[in-house]
Amino acid sequence: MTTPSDEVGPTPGEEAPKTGGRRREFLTGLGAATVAGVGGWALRGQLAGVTEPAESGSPEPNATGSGKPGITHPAVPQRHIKVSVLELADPQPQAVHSAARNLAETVPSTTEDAGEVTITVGVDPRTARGLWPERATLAIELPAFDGDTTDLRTGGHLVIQVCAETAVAVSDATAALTALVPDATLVWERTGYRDAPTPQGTTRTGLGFLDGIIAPRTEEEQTAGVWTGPEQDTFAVFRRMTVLSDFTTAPVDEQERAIGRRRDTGAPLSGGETMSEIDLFAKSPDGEPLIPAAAHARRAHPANIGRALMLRRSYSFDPPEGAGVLFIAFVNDPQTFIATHRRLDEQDDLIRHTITDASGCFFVPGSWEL
Amino acid sequence: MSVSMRRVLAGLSAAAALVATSACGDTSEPETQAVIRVPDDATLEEAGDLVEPGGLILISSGTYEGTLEVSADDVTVRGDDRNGVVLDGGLTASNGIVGTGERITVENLTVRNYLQNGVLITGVTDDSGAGIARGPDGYVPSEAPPPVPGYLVQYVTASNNGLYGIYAFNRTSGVIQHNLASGGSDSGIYVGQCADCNASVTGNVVVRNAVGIELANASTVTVTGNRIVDNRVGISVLSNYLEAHGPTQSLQVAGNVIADNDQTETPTQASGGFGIGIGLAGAVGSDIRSNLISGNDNVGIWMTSSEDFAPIDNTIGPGTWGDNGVDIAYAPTDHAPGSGNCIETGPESAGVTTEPSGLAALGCGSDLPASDYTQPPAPDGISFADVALPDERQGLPTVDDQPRQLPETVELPDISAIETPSADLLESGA
Ligand code: HEM
Repeated sequence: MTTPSDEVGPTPGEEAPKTGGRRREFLTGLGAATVAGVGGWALRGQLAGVTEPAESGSPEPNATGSGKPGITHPAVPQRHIKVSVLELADPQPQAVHSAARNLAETVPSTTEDAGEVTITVGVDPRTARGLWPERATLAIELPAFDGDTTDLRTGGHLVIQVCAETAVAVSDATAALTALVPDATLVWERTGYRDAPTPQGTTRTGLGFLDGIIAPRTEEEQTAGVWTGPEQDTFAVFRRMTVLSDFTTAPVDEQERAIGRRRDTGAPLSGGETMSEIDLFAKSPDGEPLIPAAAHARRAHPANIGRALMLRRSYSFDPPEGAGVLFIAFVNDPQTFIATHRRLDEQDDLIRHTITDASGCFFVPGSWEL
Repeated sequence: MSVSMRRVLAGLSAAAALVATSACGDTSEPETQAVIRVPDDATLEEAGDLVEPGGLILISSGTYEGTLEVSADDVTVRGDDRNGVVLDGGLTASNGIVGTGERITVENLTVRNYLQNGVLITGVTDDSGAGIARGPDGYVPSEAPPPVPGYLVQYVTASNNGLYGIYAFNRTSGVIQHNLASGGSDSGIYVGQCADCNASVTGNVVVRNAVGIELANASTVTVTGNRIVDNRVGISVLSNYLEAHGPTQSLQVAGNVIADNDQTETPTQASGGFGIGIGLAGAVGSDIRSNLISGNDNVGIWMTSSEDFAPIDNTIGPGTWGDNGVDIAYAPTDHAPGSGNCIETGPESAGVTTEPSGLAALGCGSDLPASDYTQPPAPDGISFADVALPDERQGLPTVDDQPRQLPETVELPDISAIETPSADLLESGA
């Protein structure tokens, strides 16, 4: 196979698994998430563990169930989030490491009603490569994308993602954590919320569309697309995006064609139900694809780039105009995100109505051992 | 049944296969025959189970509904009259003829009004042994099995089918010749997913399809002496990740008439293509020469990238050009930039127009400057079922009851000896 030596093509010797196995099998993983969602968040602590077998070995302080906190655990993401990107006074890899590890292993005290509080900490790509030359080989900064604003916030040495069921808990916990790195400066931050979960554990974004339908739920899918290896390291991509009001005020059928799914049910325009996959090949008799050529779900579909499915775990926020999306994805190779976003830049009737004003890609180690 | 099970068993372990084979050894199976006459000996659908390896299914004139599935090796499916034997899907059946065995021949008949394919020759089967291809049926490229060798599809008229007229998938060593494919909602003729297709597509007429001839992740294919007119896109060459074995390499296209591919009375092309003679997306090592490429409203040849597949080492040689929106557009993307491509249209085509301009003067040796050419939006299409029926074409010179023995490999034509055809190549059915 011939691939160009630059950018999207995997660099020789650094190839991540490219395919995600059978997409159809995602249904087998669905049952677990459904169970967790049905109970609502109050039950989540007990039920979330059903998605994966319990892990043995060194327990993370804030991993009460299985899965990685704030990534695959809890299976249904908590209602509130705060993401903070910090630049440290001492940029030495060792200093970043000890600060990040200290943050990740701290258990801030919160109120009883906070639900499950998860703390997820990542370090910047360059530091990660220095600290874990074997584990973080694929770490890179994101390139610029079409909708990036000219004053895009980026960079920083580490990211702290705090999730909980109450807004107060995430802000209290974040304040307690940032107090541990007093001479750090804030590069950017964003709070976000998720609307009440559906029975399937998805949620409605500020656009009114269901988000998180297609996700790597099985262990096989997560191995293919989320974890870089048995350490369960991953890369977290954060994008602070605004969907402009020319999209949010467009007629619903136009929005649906831009997404490729129904707004009310989430069902694909190619047929089926809420949780059905889109059918990339279905056409009307006159040859028109049922999922339009520029629909977001088609453009973002990983089959186009021959890569595994990324795990999305986004939150909403309310900008002065339009709808805010704190896009978050966990992926075992940042190139999967980059190649996907290139396709969205080439053609996407949703993404061309968005701007992004803060962005970052961080290595989230599965263990902090060096 | 033991015959039709064969390919399913190939996917199982040897031990499991033994058990399954002996389980099938009961005597209630109908006996297979060397020559099956339809309708005298069997219905169209029964014929596929009854034919023995190396046998012949001979179909008499008449109209037949439903699907003929053939899984035995070395089978010949022959109509006794190209225009008189009509398999008609009635816009309800999926496929006309599905062949999964090695070295299959399909010839001298008409297939039309199928929701998917007129003739599907495939090297992929599902758990039940049925032949499948790329599509929503759960096909996973990373699990592509080894290709199945041998096929010949000739003197077939495939019209008004919802996907492809004639479709070869995950196969090698094939010849697709003297067919007429029309009204295909995707393409008239399609060769896909073969790392070494060793396939010759020659002497066919493809008209009024969304795409005339489509090649996706199909390497070592020659497309020669075809009449490719009045489609939305004449030839579409793709490299992608939806099928295995990208990119498409070593394609040769010579001696074809590729004209007026801007017909609105055709189905919409799925990604909006229109007015395009040849679209080359992410192709490697193609050689395109001695074609008549004219009257394509938007662009004669459009060379670009596809995902991370860059256009590399493609050559556009001499030929006849006229009246295209622009004759050649070179427009790879920034992140999959082209290299080693050359445009050597020669003195006979000094008036060749290019985007960016002046490419033809650069020849080989230097990297070509890129343009950001894109075509304007396409006009709406019509249903594949409503596309005008094609004219009748001459069938097999002689019809007998001898099955064909196909060779292990196909000798591909030497395109350096092929001359540019005149505009009336294969114009009428006479
Ligand atoms: C404003 C920003 C965005 C919004 C509102 C949005 C919304 C959606 C919606 C509604 C769906 C369909 C439902 C689902 O499967 O969850 C979807 C699917 C998807 N999106 Fe986005 N998205 C955004 C940005 C992005 C970005 C930046 C990427 C990656 C570069 C991305 C990747 C995906 C993927 C991979 C799918 C699944 C497609 C499939 O396989 O069916 N999205 N998105």
